Amino acid sequence: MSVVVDHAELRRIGRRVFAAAGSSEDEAAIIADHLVEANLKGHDSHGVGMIPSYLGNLHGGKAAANEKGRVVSDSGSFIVYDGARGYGQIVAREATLLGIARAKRDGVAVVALRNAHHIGRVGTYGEMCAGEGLLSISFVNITDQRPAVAPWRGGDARFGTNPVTVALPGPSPERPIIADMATSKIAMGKVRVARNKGEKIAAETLLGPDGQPTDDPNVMYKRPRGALLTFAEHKGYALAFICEMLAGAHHRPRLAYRRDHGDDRFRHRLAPAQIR
Amino acid sequence: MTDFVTASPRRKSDEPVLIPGDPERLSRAKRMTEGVPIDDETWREIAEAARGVNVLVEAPKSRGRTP
Repeated sequence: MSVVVDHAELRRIGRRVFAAAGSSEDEAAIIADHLVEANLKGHDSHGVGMIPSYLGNLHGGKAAANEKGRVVSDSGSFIVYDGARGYGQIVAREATLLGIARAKRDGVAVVALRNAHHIGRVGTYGEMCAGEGLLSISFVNITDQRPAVAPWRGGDARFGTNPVTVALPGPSPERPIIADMATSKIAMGKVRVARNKGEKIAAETLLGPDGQPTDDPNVMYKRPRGALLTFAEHKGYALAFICEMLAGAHHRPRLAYRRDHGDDRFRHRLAPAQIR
Repeated sequence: MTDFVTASPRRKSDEPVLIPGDPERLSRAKRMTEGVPIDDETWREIAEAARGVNVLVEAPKSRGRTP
């Protein structure tokens, strides 16, 4: 069973919760609206169901309230932005706004964001760029969290769900073209949703801790942990690998395999190229 | 280009050919009017997390089946 909640009520709850957790009213509104928009767009894996994990990370010192991050290097059209563990909805938005301004000024901009808390639904940033008439391409990796996805032919998890997003203006202003997808067969949030609903996962999606196929979402919440498979076998794997390289490697190298063991800080890296 | 691609004959009459981004727009239009379904366990987790920062989340008024 489920409840059905009006979007305005969800926004109100989200704002109150994040404000009560220490965020400014503006910050609380941006985070809440981002999550509710993900629910509205059908991506419940990135919606208000993330609130418990965000608050847990905040209390664990893995996310920081009222932190907008800062530029750490700037060579005009190439910017490295440090999120300083701020909420991803805030720091990735700031980095995207900066990229938009630079792409409009110079024709192209590359922004590498590091050290951000979970940046939410990456399509959000693609929509921001498309809304300004820009093309954007984002490659995201995930560090300081246990790997969740097995490499093609592999039997355990070696990297995150590493999403790729490409967005561009569409046939009309209200219809941008947004391709936004995890390179795993399904997002981790979708495993969470299935677990919470008591549902099975489709075949050819999950491996158990023994490296054998399973349909039980609980394998991702036990130790030793199972693994998601990539979409389209070797093709998804290749893109996931590229995310790891592009998002992790072109600023202070920080790849999934270098994560700090025992520290499951929830960080994402985003490397969008915005081309006018 | 968009028109050319989406003019491909439908394999199922009730499933139109879409462009990337359309599924999200269709979902948003539906959920803006009908509300957002949230499974009971996720709702319980949200309410519990909210209680942790002294925010009381009231039980929603309408209930439905998980689509």
